[in-house]
Amino acid sequence: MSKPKITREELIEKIVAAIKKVSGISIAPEKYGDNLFALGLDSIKAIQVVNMLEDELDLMIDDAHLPKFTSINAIAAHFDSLNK
Amino acid sequence: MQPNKITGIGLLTAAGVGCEENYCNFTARNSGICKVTRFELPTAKVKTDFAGLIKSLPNEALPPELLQMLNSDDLAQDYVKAAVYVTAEAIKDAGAAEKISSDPRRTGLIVASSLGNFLNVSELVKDYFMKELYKITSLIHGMNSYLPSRLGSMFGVAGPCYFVSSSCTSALNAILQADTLIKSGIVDRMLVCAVDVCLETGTFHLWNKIRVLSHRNESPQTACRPYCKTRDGIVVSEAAGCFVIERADAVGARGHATIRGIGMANGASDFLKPSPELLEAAIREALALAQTPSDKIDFIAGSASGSPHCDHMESEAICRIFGARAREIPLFPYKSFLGSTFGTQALSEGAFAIKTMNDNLVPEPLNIFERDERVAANAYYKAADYSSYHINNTLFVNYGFAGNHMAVVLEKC
Repeated sequence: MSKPKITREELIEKIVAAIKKVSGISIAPEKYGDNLFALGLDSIKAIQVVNMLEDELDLMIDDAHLPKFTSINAIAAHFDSLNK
Repeated sequence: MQPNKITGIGLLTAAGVGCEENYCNFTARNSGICKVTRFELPTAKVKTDFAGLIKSLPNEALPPELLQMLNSDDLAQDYVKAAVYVTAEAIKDAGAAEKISSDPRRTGLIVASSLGNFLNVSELVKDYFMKELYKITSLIHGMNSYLPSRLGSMFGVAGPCYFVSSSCTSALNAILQADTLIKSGIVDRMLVCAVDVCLETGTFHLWNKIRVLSHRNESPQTACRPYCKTRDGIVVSEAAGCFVIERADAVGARGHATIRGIGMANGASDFLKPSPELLEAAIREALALAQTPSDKIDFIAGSASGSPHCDHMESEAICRIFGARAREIPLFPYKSFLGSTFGTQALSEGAFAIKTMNDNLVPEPLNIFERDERVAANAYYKAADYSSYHINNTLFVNYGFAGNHMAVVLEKC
């Protein structure tokens, strides 16, 4: 059975929730394009966010893509492409 | 004040047991890095299935007089057995046993490790929570002070005896402290033992989840590719090593290398990313303390591990410090052979760097399949171009997680 698709909006909600869970940081919608490290994340927290999303969405992310995950929009775009 | 000398070396890695076997396998390019079979892998959940694991030491590999001093709990742990083995090898190599026993308080011992007796701690947790076993020895063995205390009593050391941990620079940090203790006159010699035997199902799974490992499962021995454009991550490897360090005036001309100067710069805005500014500061401090001008450095043992950030920042720091000579001094990363040996690097990689210096044998670059245009330092040399080369001074670079950046200048004795 194929995995249920989720919308970009649902994906962003999950990313924002994951960031909140691992770092306590709440990110407002107008900051979705901002650099995550400038918003207070570090490498470890960023990896934890990706691990959580991977588990929750049952996807495998190639580590080579990690440097591209600089903002919520960038993460969403990558997961979205895998989710299609 | 006279610099101190490294007079004895002991070594145990995935490539071999003892210095000789390691050096032979380095020449043969047989690193021992291979698919994990010692413990189960959650294969559906991990992307990497290989590592550098030391082979379990048979009891007979240890000298009989030491073997009888080890209890059954010690013998069950490769962490302890590996440390005993390399310490015995280094003391024998230095011919230091009599000197230690004649005045035990004039010798000290430091154990360095990044993860310590991690496997024991995980066993302790399993025993307690899954089997309801209450083993007091598990708690004692889990203490970082256990191993220095145990080794100290086994080898008759009564001077300072303690544990040091600073991630990948643990061993070099311990060497710095040993060097300082000898120079301060507190002791005449130090045994510096580093051991990281810490991989099992749980820890290996976690290393996978930190997302820093190479995924080149089809070719483990060529997976660790520092300075190579086709790099895809680090390779984790267990190891143990020991140096005997002595006051130079007490050993005459004997010794493997002289410790000229050690530099250190700490501070991490990001736990996983070393800083180029701090690395440069550490190297400059090592050169200044060594009173060795940069034009006297003949060989650089790089610390690059196969991540683009580290490869680039290391090359850039070397280029800033050495200028045009950065394109001439051979730069070799021993991780391309050993993998990343956690906190033991200054002893495990250091032993190979000293061997390279004393043999004047610049190794052929290893696991470089494509040049990275951002690496301007001399990592892509041909060993044949250095066939009549003399290495008198080696710069050993060492950094890792947790914001520790270090470097040491070693001089041929």
